[in-house]
Amino acid sequence: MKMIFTSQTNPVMVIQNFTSQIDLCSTLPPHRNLQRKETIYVGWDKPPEGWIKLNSDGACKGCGENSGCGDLFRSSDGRWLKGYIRKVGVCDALHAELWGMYLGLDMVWRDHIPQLIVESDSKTLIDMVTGNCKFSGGIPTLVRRIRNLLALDWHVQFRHTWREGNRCADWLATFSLSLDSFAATRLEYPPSELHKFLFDDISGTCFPKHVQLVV
Amino acid sequence: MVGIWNDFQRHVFWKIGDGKNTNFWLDNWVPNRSELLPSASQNFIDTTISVRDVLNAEGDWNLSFLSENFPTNIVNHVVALPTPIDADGPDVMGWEGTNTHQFTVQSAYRLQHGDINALEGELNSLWDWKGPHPIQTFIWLAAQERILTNFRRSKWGVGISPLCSRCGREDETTIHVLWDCAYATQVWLRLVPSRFITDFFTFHCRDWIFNNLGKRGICATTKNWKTIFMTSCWFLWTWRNKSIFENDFHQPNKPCHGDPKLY
Repeated sequence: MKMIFTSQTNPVMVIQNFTSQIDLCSTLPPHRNLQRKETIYVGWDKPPEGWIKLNSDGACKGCGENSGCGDLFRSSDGRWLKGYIRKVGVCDALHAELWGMYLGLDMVWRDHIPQLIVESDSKTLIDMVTGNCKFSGGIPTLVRRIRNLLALDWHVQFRHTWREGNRCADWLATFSLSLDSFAATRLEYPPSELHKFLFDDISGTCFPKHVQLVV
Repeated sequence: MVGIWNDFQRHVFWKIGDGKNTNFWLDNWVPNRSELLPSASQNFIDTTISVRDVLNAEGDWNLSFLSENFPTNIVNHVVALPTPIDADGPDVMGWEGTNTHQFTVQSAYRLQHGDINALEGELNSLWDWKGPHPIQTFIWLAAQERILTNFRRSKWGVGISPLCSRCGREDETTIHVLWDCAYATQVWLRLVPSRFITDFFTFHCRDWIFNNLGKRGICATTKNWKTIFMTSCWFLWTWRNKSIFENDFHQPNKPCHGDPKLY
């Protein structure tokens, strides 16, 4: 009884008790049972029959001083149809990804393709164009243009993939940084350095990725 | 408004739609850059053209015009922007100082004077602390001397005494509540290891707080010092408030040396 009495009237004891409680909490591993690490296998998979798949990505070098984007289209048997690359200029990574998606959608709409699956490794980007995120101060021009394209009469689905499933687009985007002009360049045939990645994708090669699951 | 017009206009930003109402040279329309005129590499330019006028027949940026008139880094900034088209509607004027591009007096003041309220010091050392958020936020406010002490309240109107309600002898400033008041000093004397006592009391509030959150001196040698320090400040302030606002509250007032194994 005397202990309780003194610990409440002595400010130093109150502080020390409180401190040791905080430290006790911070030394316990937080949410020990809630987080689980797991290895998943990520690769590219072919679109269903009658659909075309667009993989797009952006690349950014030197804090946005040089950015570019790349897209490629493949059919349901995994065949290369075409690709686009464009050097963008000075912008951040998200803006470069936006350019990639806009360029790809714009090009494929002109080719009258009725059913399209768009794959990007940027969840933020997909949320932006599908309206799952709010903008303060107006919608960016490129997002609005992409949304206008989506409102046209065709079927477009969005899929989020991981970087490991988007290696071809990633390679093309990086490749676009070496271009001299800013014009969008259409690639009828894949560059020879890309063959290896295309072959990996068509044969269903997967790469391990460590993810944290929140149960 | 007329007097500050130039300062105001410097921070007006144009979001390009069809590009017809924005002056290419004089308006501020390339993100993260001011107007383009000072970057011009030619001596004679037509300052009446709009952004729309700098497109070629295909509707792309006129690259030959851009590279004749600007160094490469400016060209690279411009070409990264989507070209103006009619479907994007008219150009929209916005305010540069806020995320929403709405004008606020506060943001205008900040643009004019620089962010004088920015807090110097190792803020990371505060935010990476693992403990209750109210304490963290309180220390952050205290470091800016923004807690509602009597001294601060007395500046707001007549009839409010700036004196400390505990000792009644001095103005109740942040530093007074947290250590200068005799009551607080009594607590600190029993918490601070004796060889650090002479260095402990510093009159500059912000320095005092960040010195005690850092990695040197007392923090390096005393286990959990950061937590002890933050908790103590917070209790000193909480007890002060409770003794004012809660009639039946008796603040712990029998300081004596605490648990000896902490030393």
